[in-house]
Amino acid sequence: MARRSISSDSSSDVNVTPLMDIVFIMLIFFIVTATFTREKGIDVNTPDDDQVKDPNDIPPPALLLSVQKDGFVRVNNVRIIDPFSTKPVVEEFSAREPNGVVIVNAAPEAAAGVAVTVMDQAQAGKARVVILTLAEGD
Amino acid sequence: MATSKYRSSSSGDDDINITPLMDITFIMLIFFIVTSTFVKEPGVEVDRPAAETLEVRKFATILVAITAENRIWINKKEIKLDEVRTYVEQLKAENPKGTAVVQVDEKAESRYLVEVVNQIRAAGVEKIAISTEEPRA
Repeated sequence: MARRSISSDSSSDVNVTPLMDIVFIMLIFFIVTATFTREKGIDVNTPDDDQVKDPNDIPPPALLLSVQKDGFVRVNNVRIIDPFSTKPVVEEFSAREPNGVVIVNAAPEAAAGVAVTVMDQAQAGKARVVILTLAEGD
Repeated sequence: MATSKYRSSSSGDDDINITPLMDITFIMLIFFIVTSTFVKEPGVEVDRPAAETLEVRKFATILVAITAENRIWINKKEIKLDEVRTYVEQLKAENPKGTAVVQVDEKAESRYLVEVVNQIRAAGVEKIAISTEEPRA
């Protein structure tokens, strides 16, 4: 008897059923709409157009990798290599020029997969900065 | 009389302790609220190029897809090249901290890839990645 009157006085019999209903509905909504996207990718940089450059700045040494329409890569406009052998070229360049940047200059009609491969190989070759540009005309 | 009332309420299982249930439910609710980001998928499947140096991109909420036919898709809609900036700005307004991921088909032309990246950058998104997959061994 005494126990019952105490539990009744401390208002332990609040009806929590509507609260539970709302909480469960919200829980189910968030579980259903939760999308855990696992996107994997590589970084891409393009040159800034509006950046004001100090004319006295010496531009860093650059390695130019031109991705051609036929899927081959021209290094510094001198020699032509396969896109998958870009990595040793970039490794040699970044060992020689630690501050150098690698410019991937893609021809407009070149396949994007080749340009991505070249950028990936340049990153794998420890290039400090890799910039993707678009070749003029062609 | 009072005793009989007490006994009937006890036998009706009215006093199950639901506090632990509430605790767990609230923790799950808070977890799902915090982790939920409403990602707008492009809605097309592309053949991603393979890359060795790929990393997992977190908070990738701005997704742009370029198909092998050089068509650009955002949020299950096909859009023109010069509309990319407008749509990316809308997505950025919904998720200001989100990063952008370009899902480019490996057979698409490079001009579309570079143009789309330039437009995303013009929309004010700094972190842009190209979606790739693990190289097939």
